Amino acid sequence: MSLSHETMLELMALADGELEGEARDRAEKLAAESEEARGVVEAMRAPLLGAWLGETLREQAGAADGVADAVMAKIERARAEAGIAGVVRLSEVRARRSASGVTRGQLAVLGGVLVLAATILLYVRSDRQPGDGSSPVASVDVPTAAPSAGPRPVLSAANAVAQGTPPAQGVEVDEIDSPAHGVTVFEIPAGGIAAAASGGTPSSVVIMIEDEPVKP
Amino acid sequence: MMRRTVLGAGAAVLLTAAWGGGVAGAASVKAPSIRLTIILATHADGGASIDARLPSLSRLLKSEPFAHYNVFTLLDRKQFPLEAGKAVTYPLVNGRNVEVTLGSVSTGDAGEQRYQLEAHIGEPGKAAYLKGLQVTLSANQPFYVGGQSYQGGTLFLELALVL
Repeated sequence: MSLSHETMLELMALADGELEGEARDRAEKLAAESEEARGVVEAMRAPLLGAWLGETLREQAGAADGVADAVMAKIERARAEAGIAGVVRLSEVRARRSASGVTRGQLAVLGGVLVLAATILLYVRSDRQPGDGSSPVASVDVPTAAPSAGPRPVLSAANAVAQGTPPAQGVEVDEIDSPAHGVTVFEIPAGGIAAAASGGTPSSVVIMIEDEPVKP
Repeated sequence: MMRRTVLGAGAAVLLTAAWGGGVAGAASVKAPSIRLTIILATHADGGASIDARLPSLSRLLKSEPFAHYNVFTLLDRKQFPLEAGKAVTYPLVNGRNVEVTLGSVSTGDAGEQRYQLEAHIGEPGKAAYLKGLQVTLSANQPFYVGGQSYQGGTLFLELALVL
C-alpha cells in the first residue's frame, strides 16, 4: 500500500496538530487503521525530526561569495520562493549541533532520524513535482531553461550523510566531511542520468561544495 | 511505496553503521579504473553550448545545479587504474589536488558489484576543500562534485568507476 500525496500532507498536518473536526477524525482514523500512516505520524512527531523539518522548510538563502556560491544561493532562493523545502547546509547543522551540545551518541540517533526525515520529505516532493531529470538537448546547442525540480536535494549532515531513498543500483553518498565549506547534495533521479551507464539508468548525485569557507 | 522507501532508508542507516565491516574485500574483482572528467560550467548571455565530448551532461542541463549554467567546457579527462587502498592523485587546474581511493567491494541487490570510493580534494598547506567523501556505486555510474570557482565559472568533477 502507498499513501497519496494528499494523505501524506494530511498526516503531517495531524502530527502538527493543525487539523480539526472532520479532517482530524479522518486522519486519526487512517492513522489508527494503517500501520504505514501511523508510522508517518509518529515519525513527524519525533522532536528532532519535527524540528528539523520545520527548520528546513523555513530555510532561506544566505549571502554568497563568488560565482559558485552565488549560484548556490540562487538555488535556495528559487526553492524558497516555490515553497519547496530547501537544503541543509553542513555548516548550519554543525553550528546548531555545537550550540546545543549534542553528544556523539545523540548524533547517531539524529543520523537515523534525519534519514527518515529525508525519506518523508523526498516522498512528499516526488509526488508534488515529478522529476524531469531528462532533457533532450543537442550536444552543441543548449536551451537556456529555468531550473527544474529534477534533482532532489538530499539532507546533508556533518560528517554523516545518508540518502533517504537509495536506489539499489544508484550512487549512494555514505559520508561527506568538509568542515569549512557548505555542502549541498542533489539527487538526480533515474532517467536523469545519461546513458553513460551501461546497465540502465541509475540515479546519481551532485555534491556542491561552496568554494569559500564558511565564516565562523 | 512508503514502506519500501522507509525500509530503504533503514537499509541506508544499516549500511552506514556497517561501514568497513560487512563488505567483501576487493581482491576478487576485475581491476577497475577511475575516470575523472573536469568540466567548467559558466553562464553566458550570448549563447549556450556544451562540449560535444560531454554527452552524459546533456540530459542533466535542466536539473539543478546544472540549470544555472549554459556553457559547459571539457577541461580535461583522465582515467587511472584503481587499486584497493591506494590513492590516485590528480592535479586540478586551480592548484588543488583530487585524490580517489578504492575501498571495499560488495555485491548489490541485483547481484552487481558495488564499489566504495573515497575522495579528497585539497591543496598542500591549506585546509582541505573536501576532507573526505565516501560513496558507494556501481561501475559506469558517474557522480559529480561541483562548486569550485574557476575563471568566472564553476568546476564540476565527474567521477565514474569504469571496468
